[in-house]
Amino acid sequence: MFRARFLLWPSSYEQRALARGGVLLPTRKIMTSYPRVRKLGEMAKKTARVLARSPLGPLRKVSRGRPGNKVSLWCVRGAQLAVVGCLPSFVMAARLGDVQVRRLAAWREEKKRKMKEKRERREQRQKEREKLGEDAPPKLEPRTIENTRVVDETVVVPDDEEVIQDEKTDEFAGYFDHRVTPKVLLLTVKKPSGKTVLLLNELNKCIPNSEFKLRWGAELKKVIPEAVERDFTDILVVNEDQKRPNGLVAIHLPSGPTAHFKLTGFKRGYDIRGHGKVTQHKPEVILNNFTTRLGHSVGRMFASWFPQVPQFTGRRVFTFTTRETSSSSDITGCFKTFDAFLCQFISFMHYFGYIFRGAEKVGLQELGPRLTLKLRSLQEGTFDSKHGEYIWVHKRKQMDTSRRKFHL
Amino acid sequence: MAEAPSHVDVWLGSSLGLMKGVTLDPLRCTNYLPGGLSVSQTDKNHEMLCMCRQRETLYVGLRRGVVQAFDSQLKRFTLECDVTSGVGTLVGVARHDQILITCTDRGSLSFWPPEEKKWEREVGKETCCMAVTDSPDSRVATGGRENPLKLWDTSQLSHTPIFTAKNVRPDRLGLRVPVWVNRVVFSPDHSGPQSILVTGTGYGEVRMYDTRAQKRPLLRTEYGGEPITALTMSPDGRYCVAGNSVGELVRFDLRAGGGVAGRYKGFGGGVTAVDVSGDGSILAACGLDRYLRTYSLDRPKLLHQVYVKLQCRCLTIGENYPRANDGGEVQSEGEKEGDDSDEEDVWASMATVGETTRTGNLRNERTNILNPLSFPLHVHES
Repeated sequence: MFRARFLLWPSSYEQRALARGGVLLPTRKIMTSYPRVRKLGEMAKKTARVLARSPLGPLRKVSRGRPGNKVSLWCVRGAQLAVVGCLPSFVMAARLGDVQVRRLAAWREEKKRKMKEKRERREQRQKEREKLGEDAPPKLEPRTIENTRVVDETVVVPDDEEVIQDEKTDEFAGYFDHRVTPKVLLLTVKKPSGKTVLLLNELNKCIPNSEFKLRWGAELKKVIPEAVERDFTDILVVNEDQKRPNGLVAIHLPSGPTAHFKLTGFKRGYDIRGHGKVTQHKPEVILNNFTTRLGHSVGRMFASWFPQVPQFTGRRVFTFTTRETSSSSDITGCFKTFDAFLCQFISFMHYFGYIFRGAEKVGLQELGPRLTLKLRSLQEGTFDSKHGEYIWVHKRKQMDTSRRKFHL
Repeated sequence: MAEAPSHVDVWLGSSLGLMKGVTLDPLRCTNYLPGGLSVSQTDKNHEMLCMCRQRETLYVGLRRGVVQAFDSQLKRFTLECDVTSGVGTLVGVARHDQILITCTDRGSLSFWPPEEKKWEREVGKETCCMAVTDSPDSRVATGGRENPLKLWDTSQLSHTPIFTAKNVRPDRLGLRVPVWVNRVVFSPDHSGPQSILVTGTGYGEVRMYDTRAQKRPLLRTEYGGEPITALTMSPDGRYCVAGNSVGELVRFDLRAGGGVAGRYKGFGGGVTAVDVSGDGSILAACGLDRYLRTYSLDRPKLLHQVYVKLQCRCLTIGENYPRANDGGEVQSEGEKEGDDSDEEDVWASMATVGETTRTGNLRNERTNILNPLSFPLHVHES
């Protein structure tokens, strides 16, 4: 039986074969078992003859199949043919219809025209600037995520007395007033396995004063009062699906809010190139871009997992970032950039480092783990998903109407 | 906020004890605090949990067990009185004639007549809600967790409820349906003694009861499974609007079998309070996402969305909202009030036939301007 290998790019062997004008056809086995393939196979045989005659230029990708959709379309120079990737382990050639050919050519022309216009505009602006010299209008600012963002009225103004008082009297006030020492309980599903165990190990090592306990299916609602009794301040429950961690429920105790996150992109320190060794120093926590009121609440929740006073000599830093920052002197700005799609996500990173090289530059060494979290809901009170009151629930159809609107 | 507006459309009771007066056109939010208290001195003990309005006075119940009276014309707090003595938290406050009615979550329903001794009723161990009718023969409805809906008379003589609801039949699996009355509201039925009530359960069900007809609900509709945390009726008694803990705000048509007649979108968090204006055209709701939203009741269209910075658990639409002329003219306000009082005198002198008055809102009682309550405690000076 053939190995189900998902194909988005043709493999190097296949690429070379195609470049030489060859066509890869499915094996006989596949052709007989999948009727659709059989039909395409027949089509491929016909085009193979055409291909064999016409010289093939270099392959150029026009559209890429999305994960789950097994079709990729490559355009060959001349736009006469498209290479269509279907089922794994073979690539087939199919003849493009006239309309498709025309569309591809038109698209390419349009793109060329746009680039030309852009170049001309840029040159025009440069000429004007040179002519006017000092009186020239200021340079156009590049559009960034921050300056194209939809204005959010809940962005916290620094001296807003209501918000200040609200935060002084909220559930995290005890932590920020240094009355409470954080103590984190790590829990997970009944039988954790695979990457979940690795993640829990990492979290246990990273978060000072954390304990991992096996839950064996105990109900969270029953665990919570017991944890409160034992002076825990937070419970982190890592959810697992198919041996991979996929969710995180952060419950602040004794009566604090419960945040439910979707967890993706876990990479442990060991798997990060050039990672450093985790020390036992109390880390510093950096929260980037948690500007809205909701962002503030979530940011405070993250901060409350770590000891209040960091040991700067240890140079250990945790960063929670919601968006790419535009300033270059910021620590995370020099590390990773995220595209707009990820801007609703929170990246969690653990660094050792900041060896200051001069005034502006910072050297970083990642310690791991690396996580990406997306807030699903923030519920008031301790875990009660059915009857609890929600402060914020992510409603995709209502809230995700604009790519430039960020809730955190 | 340089100049306080002359009219306020919606009053909100916030989590830090600030009374927020929101004007919708132009959009403005003003905070009012009891005299001598500043924002930095408040805390969660000052959280306003319940509110009721009697003409231009708002009565708010605070978490620390105190009821404050706020004059919406003068825009300041006038009175305060301790009603729980530290036992339990307030779940409902209401005013009927001169009597102040409060209910705590421990089940202590107290009646505070002016210049007389209070009397109490035990309404159940865990009480979640209380509602009071507006009509002269007033009734109080209470309910809670494993505490069925009960109707109480406001006279001192009756010690037992006049009506206790019966639990619904067991569900399809033959299991007993747990009782959790989370919100209760009387249907503004003008024609007779108030007997129609609507309750919202903690399991997402809205039930309509007619206490004259039967002990079980006449109508049951379910929406989601999340607790109903806000409930109100339209003035004609036809629609009931319910909000739940995940921010779904839905209108049910009670005369058409309880079907959903509109969903009001926009809430990101649980809805804590909802109110319909006197003429039944505007719906205002506030929630845990710190926003006040107003919708037109008939077509679920969002009219205004105001960020109010604090979570609010109670709200009331102001007396004169929506105004006929939306130009926001300050002078016409005074004239309008004058008109109202003249009209009221005319109506008051006529024999009542049981029809609705011009103002149409049963919350405006045909009594004289209130005498201040003579509770022997703290009077605010501001």
